[in-house]
Amino acid sequence: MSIHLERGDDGQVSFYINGDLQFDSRDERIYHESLALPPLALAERRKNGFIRALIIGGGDGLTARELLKSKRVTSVDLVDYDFRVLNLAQNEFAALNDGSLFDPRLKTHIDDAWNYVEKAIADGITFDLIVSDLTVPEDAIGARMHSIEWYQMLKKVLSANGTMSINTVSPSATPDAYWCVLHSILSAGLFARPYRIHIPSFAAKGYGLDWGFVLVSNTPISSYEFESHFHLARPRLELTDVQQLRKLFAFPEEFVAYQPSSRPASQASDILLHYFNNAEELIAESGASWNSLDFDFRRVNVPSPDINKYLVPREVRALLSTPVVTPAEEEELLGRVLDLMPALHRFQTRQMVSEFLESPESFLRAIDLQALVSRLLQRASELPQKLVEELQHLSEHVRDFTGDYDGLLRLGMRVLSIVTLVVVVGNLLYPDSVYGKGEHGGGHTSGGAGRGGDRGAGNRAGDRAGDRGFDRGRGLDRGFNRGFNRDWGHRAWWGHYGQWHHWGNWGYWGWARPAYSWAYAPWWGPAYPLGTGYVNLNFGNGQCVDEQGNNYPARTYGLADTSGADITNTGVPMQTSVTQKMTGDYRLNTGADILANGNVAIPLTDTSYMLLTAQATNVVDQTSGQTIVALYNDPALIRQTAMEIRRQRRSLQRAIKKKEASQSQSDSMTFQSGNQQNQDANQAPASPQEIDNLKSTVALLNKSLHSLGQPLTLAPQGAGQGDETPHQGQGQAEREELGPTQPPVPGAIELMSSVWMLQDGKFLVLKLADGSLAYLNNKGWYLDQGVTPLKHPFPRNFKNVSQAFIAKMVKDSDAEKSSMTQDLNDGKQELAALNQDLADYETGPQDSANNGDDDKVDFGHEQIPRSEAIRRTKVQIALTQRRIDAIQSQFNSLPQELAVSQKMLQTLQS
Amino acid sequence: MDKLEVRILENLESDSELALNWESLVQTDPSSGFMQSLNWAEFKGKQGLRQFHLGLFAGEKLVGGALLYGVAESCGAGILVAPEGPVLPWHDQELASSGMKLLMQTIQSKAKELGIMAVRIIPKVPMPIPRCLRGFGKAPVDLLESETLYLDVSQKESQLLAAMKPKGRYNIGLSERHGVTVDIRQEPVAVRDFYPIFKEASSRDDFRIEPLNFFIDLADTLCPKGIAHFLFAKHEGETLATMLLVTYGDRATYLYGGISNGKRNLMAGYALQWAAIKHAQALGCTTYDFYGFDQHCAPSSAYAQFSRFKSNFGGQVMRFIGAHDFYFVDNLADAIIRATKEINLAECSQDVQAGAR
Repeated sequence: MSIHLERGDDGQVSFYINGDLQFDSRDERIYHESLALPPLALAERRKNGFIRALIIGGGDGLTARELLKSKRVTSVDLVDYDFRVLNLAQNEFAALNDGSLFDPRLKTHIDDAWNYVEKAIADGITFDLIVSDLTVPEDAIGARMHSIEWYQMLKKVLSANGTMSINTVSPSATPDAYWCVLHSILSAGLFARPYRIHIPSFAAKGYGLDWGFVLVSNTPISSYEFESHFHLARPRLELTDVQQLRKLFAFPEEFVAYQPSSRPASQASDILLHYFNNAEELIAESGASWNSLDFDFRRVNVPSPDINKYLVPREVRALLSTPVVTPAEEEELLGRVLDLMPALHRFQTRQMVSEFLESPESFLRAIDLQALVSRLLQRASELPQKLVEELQHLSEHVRDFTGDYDGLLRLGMRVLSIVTLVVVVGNLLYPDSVYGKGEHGGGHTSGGAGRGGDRGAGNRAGDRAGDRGFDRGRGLDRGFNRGFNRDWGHRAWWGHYGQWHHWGNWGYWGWARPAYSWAYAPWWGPAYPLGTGYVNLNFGNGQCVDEQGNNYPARTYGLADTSGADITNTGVPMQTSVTQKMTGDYRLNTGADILANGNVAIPLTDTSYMLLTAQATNVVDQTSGQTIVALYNDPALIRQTAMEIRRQRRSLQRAIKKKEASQSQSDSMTFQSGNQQNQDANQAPASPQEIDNLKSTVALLNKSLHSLGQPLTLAPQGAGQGDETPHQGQGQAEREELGPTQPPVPGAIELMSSVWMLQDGKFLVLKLADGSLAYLNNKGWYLDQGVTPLKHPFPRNFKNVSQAFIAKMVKDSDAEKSSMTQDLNDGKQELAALNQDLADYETGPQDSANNGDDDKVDFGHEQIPRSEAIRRTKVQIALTQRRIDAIQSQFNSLPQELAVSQKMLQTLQS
Repeated sequence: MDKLEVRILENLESDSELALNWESLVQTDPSSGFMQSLNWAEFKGKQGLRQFHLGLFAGEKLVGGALLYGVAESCGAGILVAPEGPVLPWHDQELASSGMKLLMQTIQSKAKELGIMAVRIIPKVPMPIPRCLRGFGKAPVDLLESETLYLDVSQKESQLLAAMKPKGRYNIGLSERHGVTVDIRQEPVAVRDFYPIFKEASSRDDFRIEPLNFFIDLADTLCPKGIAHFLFAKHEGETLATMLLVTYGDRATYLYGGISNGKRNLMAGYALQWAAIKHAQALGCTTYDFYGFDQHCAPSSAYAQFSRFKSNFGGQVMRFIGAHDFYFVDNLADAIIRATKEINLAECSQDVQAGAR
């Protein structure tokens, strides 16, 4: 256990255990008064005479300070296993805890709480008052302290009419976990009243808008007990009176919805940690309340306890135990398993896990599948018949396995799904895995030794999967068609563009073919901004913000006052004079901004950008702000852009709703002292300024839709959403309905929206704003291929822009080629080494004593039969060859576009 | 040569002779690094990982070994990981092979007890893959960078500057002329100033970072020992860039860092790297590891942008074999059978309903 102490210049103290804030001296009284004084008042009300108390945890002495305010508390036993915390309490915290640890009524026990309580039970000791002030559980040992068995033990040491309060977790941030604890208490036969408070320093750390406690007794706690002869000990700085206390028992009505499915935990269960790691934050939108003081908990149907720790996560277990009926379900099984995979560590999120599992086949690379299948068949009696049948089927083919995981999957979907699942679990249990540098972020290295794609992936949703790597053909069917090698299958319609995908990775072209960037709207995306962009003082002041609240330095765009509108039908702009600098205030995508006037801008080169307007897609000179050429509005681009704006707007509208709801919720549990100095993060109740900033951003997105000539709302379709944002399925339909934009000349290769290169590289073909075509080379532009000049002045600047654009692509392509060449060389080197090994095994000296093939040879760190070494080496050769072939195939696909680009570049440069 | 044997090293006292020998061995092995140090093990212990420490002895002389990390509760599906390990004389293929064999035998003999089904090694061994690792396969994830950039900082400052790209030299000078200064702080509490800037950079540049708790534990463990150092590039009191530098043996590693959104034109990142390089020199390091690099700066690489920046300081590209796994088939089969049984049990239980919610 690590402890960490921070002192501010003003004497403020923050205390951390295992990196988690235990208290901030500026608002610790909110926590400690709320935890200790209600059960104390109840104990005093219920019992005449002296009170014997037990504090479990609470080594900082702050809970003790509260209990010792009562003269009727004559004995406090404090049990904490960490002497370092007790030392701090006697020294650094002594002023804060009023020297509670030196009070003669208090006795400290450096012991494990479980052991201490067990001994107390054995000795027949009971307490009138117990306060459990333990840290939030992070592991099995911590979770055990919220198990049914633990609460059954506490019940035994709590006197018949005694009272107890328990520090738990945040009901709003981790509602399942809170109900789990509450259900464990109820399952132990105790009576409970949950309540919660708002602690600014906790909220600022992201621990939740509220913090939960439970008031507990061996006998029912009735509401009327708070009405008479109920006196909160003095002095108090935060908990002003009983009326205020009663308010703390109110919860949002939505909280109750978590009750039926949140299971209590036995001491062997890991379900509480599971709930923590995969918490769904409560979004209280209704404004309605549920009051735990008025609730009859005897009516609660407590789910059956969770009694074990499992290897297979619950969600996946549920899926795999459901009979698969149709072949389609069978085919989707692995994808569904992986999509349901929860976080297995507190450092992970579902989003991280999802990205970590991008290449399922990579988890099997190190496994000797033939040996595994054979081993499992030897243990067939321990396996279900269905699996045994699959294993037998697999065993007939696995010896010929050459790296075709998809093929293998078809032979044994259920077996391979379980094997993959187990290996994935093993990886996820190791907390660092999701921060690894594997191939999940892209890159073309599809296996074997060599470099991966460096960084696992980023933390931003939305513009992720489609932006990087080769052959990222996954479309909207994410998760339900995922199998091995799914990068090569299940393409959405833009798969038609084949190898051009890699151009799309760099932003510009990807935007011009917008489908790539936005096809991956994540199902796990947060429902509201997580960053501080909307609370940041720099909002609207030279910084750009995105949907998630991330901040960026704003890009600046030159814009002439009529760039957006003043064009002729042929796409040639009229010259204007007034140029202003506009900043990209909102980042719609890594390659696109929304300007203050609502226009969408897409940077093309250092000196130019694309401006989307209702009339045309203008290529604009960055410095002068003049439109260089006005291109035809590709309906796919415009609709896709509008659709994404609507999606992001909906996300922001949800954020506003949530923020407003949280503001009103927090009012009921915020203490009178107005101790709010720590509120600086998104988890704190929203400030009016933050809500205003979100609203102004929504207004900007509306303006943007208007600038595209798009309706603010869409007619409801398909899923019957009825709101302005299409359901994912609806979006897919919309995309598919549009289809790819066909080149105006057969075989032409798309460079950017409404611009193509002819195969011979002699002309760029521009589709102008009015739909007419123009052929452009270094000398001029024409109605046809160089015969009939256009009347309008030659847009020389566009030639320069195209030249720079293509040059950049060619340069990038060279980088990709050299990267692939290196991987190819690595692969070939490895292949040569393996072939040499094979030759050695096949021709090496035989051990006559062992009759030829069965002699033992070195294979890595093992000694195995020669025949086995030959088999394994052949498998490795096949896998390596397959990898080489895959890279070679990508490599081979580069030349066509690259050759055309190079020819085009020559044409424009000459 | 004395007979090789593997011993389990349990709870080494940091000032014991064996511990000092281990540190010395790790520090002088180019294929290893700070993640095999006992201090790093202490930090990982705070993160809840348990360690399994093996020493490879030739007679009584410590010649290799591995510090492996794993989770305590894994239901038999655990993976034991040796970042920057195992420590072996890789240059001597025969000895490395014998050492690897013994290490793996010991791990295998303890696999059930440790609840593991696989072991993952990540030695900083250059390509090609040593023959003694034939039984291993490429891991699905590299927990460390498999390609990086080493700068030889045993040279004089003037030589270092001369070897940089003009852009690197220019931006260091530009930053200095604009009055960007760099503070180096050793106290753990500096993590509080480090993290917000780092987080800002991560959200802007789209890379994932560990939670604050991780860095608090790291700073608490490694700062007092002079291994972790926080650097802050500042201008007129405003922090523009930050870095967590780790120094161990003769290698300094730029482990984490980021630049804020403000005043990007002041090139604070260059000032920061230059200060870190000089600090590494002052501490006696001879190698500065930029920790991650893509020499091709290929656009499909998430590292292209960072690599272009790093390349301005010069240095030599290093390519390592990356992370490799070995699965103990019997243990893997155990885990699969356990999983199958759990699935069958779930058919009649409430899990189906609970999981489906």
